[in-house]
Amino acid sequence: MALGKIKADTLEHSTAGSLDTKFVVKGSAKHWSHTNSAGTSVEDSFNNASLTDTGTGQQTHNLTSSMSNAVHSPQCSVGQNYNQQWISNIATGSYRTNNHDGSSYQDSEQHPVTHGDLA
Amino acid sequence: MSEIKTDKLTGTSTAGSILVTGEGNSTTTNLQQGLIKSWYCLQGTDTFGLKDSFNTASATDNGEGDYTTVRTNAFSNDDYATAALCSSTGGSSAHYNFTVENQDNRLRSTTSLRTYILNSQSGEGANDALDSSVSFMGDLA
Repeated sequence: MALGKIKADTLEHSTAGSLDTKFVVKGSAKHWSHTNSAGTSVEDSFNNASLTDTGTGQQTHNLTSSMSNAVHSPQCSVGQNYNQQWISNIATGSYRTNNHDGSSYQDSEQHPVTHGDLA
Repeated sequence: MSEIKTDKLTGTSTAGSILVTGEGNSTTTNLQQGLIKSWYCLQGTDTFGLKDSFNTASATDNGEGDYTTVRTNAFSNDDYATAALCSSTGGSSAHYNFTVENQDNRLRSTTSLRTYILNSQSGEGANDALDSSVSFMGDLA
């Protein structure tokens, strides 16, 4: 069966309202993953080419399809009770998540997500 | 402007996979994979409860800063990703709260997630926050 293609500016549901399709394109997450507690492997993901174990508590997430610029909007939650998490090294094809307990970097499950424009 | 009126979108080759052309007009992204599958905003102080939500069946107050939420439609596994934000503690010496999974009483399943609101300025003890919101990305069952 040939692939179908629909071009539309609006989607409308019978009861739940309508949505400009720009919210589908721009509002969808362009990458997410769930890493293991050692920061060495990916349990599940989307648009994730690979994981680099940059160092203890530091994970670099490499995207399959790159973003159009380096000002996309990564976020990250972690699976342990450590009190400092932040994002760094944002590039079109990757970003780094960092987990720290106030004294040193700590490995943990990390759950990064980013939104923004694909290249 | 063109407009599609429908209650359901389904892929032709694979029912659960629809491609969307990205902002750069060439790369495609997967519609189902990029959608947030569940989200909520709950109130932790005063009267506990969900303020607004999507695909969230319930929220339970287990104690100070200790909440369990349950999805209506389950994920296919417990490896979903989450993004979270919560309010700081008010007052003249605002404390800085952050949301993590509860590792003391861990509950991460295809439907349920137990979270802690921890306070970085009080020995990392749990405390209620006015607002606590979490969004979930992953594979629905």
